Amino acid sequence: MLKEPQKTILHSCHEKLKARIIDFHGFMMPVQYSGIIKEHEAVRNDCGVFDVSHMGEFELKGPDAESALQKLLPNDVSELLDFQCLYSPMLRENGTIVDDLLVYRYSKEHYMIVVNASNIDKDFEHMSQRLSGDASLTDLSPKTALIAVQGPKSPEIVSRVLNEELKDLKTYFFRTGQIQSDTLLVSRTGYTGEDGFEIYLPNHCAQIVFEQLIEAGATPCGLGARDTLRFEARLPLYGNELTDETNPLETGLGRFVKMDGHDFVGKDALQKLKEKGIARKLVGLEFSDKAISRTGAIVQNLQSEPVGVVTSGSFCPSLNTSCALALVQAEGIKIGTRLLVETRGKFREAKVVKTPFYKRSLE
Amino acid sequence: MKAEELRYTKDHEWASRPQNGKCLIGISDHAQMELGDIVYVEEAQTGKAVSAGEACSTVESVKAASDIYSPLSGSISRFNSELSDNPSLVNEDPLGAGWLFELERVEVSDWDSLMSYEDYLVFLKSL
Repeated sequence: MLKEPQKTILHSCHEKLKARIIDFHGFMMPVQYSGIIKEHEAVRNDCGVFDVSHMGEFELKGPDAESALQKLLPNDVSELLDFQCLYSPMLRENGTIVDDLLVYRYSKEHYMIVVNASNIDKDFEHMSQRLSGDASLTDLSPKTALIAVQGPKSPEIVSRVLNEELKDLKTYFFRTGQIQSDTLLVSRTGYTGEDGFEIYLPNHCAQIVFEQLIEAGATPCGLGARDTLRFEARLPLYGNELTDETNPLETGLGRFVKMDGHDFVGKDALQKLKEKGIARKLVGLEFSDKAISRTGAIVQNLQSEPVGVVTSGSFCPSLNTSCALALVQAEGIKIGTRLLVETRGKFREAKVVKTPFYKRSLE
Repeated sequence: MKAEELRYTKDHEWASRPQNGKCLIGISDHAQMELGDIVYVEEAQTGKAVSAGEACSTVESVKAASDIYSPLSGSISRFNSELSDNPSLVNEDPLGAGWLFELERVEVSDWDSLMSYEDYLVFLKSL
């Protein structure tokens, strides 16, 4: 059965702002308002606001919540402090990636887990089936809105709108506060490679906060800019870099997988893969012209033998060049290697370059 | 150029009225809006003979690539080299400075058979 695409609670705001709306994994989402490049630059230089209410939020509660989560995730949840966030992939027994997610720890008995919109049902089932001990999982997604505010001016703007000094909130930490007798959560996190915040709040408070952020100077930004921003910062996208068929070691998530520590779902399989040697890796490619090689484009070596495939390709507004991320054979390919990449049926040369393509300068 | 003075195709290209067998080709305002921020225009091959409907360039935006089909038969005599450094001209002025290429040896009767602006607007409404 085809499901009607869902609308987020901010849908009417997007219509009022004349956004271009697309169906993104079953959600009607704004892809752009004023233009992808303008919005991209607003985030890099100023402040942008995104509706990402399509993302999924789960609550895990119970005396055994910590150990249950620890078993589900290859990153080390036990290192977290209260009110701290952690990024982790989540794996199957065979080592492939179910999703990548953020863990928010309120306490050892209470966590929030934020997952990709396209994976909400799959993740909930995967986690429920593997939950151990006394812990219960609840899907809070339908009643939770999520607004991301990103860019160098975001501390000032978010502090003003939420009436709370947030400049001192550390990266990957969060705080809770009151809004209209409800609780909201603000974390210093994001998906753009820029400083910023993510605000989780009950649906009925979302519209006023979204509108106030825009009034305070944040530029409304769509999924188009979100993609170019995350791409430049080499933040992986589930469905592109990360899939049901890839493992975290080949897709550059090695540092989020603690092979020497706790037991987790997928560890044995990864151990075996590691012993055999990781055959593929994710690399950055830069082109000399601005044509774009998009997802699925074939990558060859200079002898025209296939060596991999493009996972994401985009124009990089911050660099004014065209780049791609590609999953290629690990052997013989390093920074500076020249490869051939398919672009609309023809092959053209690209060079393997260091990633991220864009890194923000720290003041 | 004025939108009313141009002729259009169902693929959203426009052609200016041929003068001495020469005319300019571009994409409509509707097309540039649909594509969004244009970041690259593939150089049309000058000197090449093309038939109406033949792909002869590509306009690439952040989100999508779109082939450009020649609205008329003729020969490509010039590419708008301004677009190499400044492809966003196609967004800013699609019917003017953002023209894509020039055709020569074009028949006025071919041009006459393309959609008028009025017809094109009706066509857009039907989409």
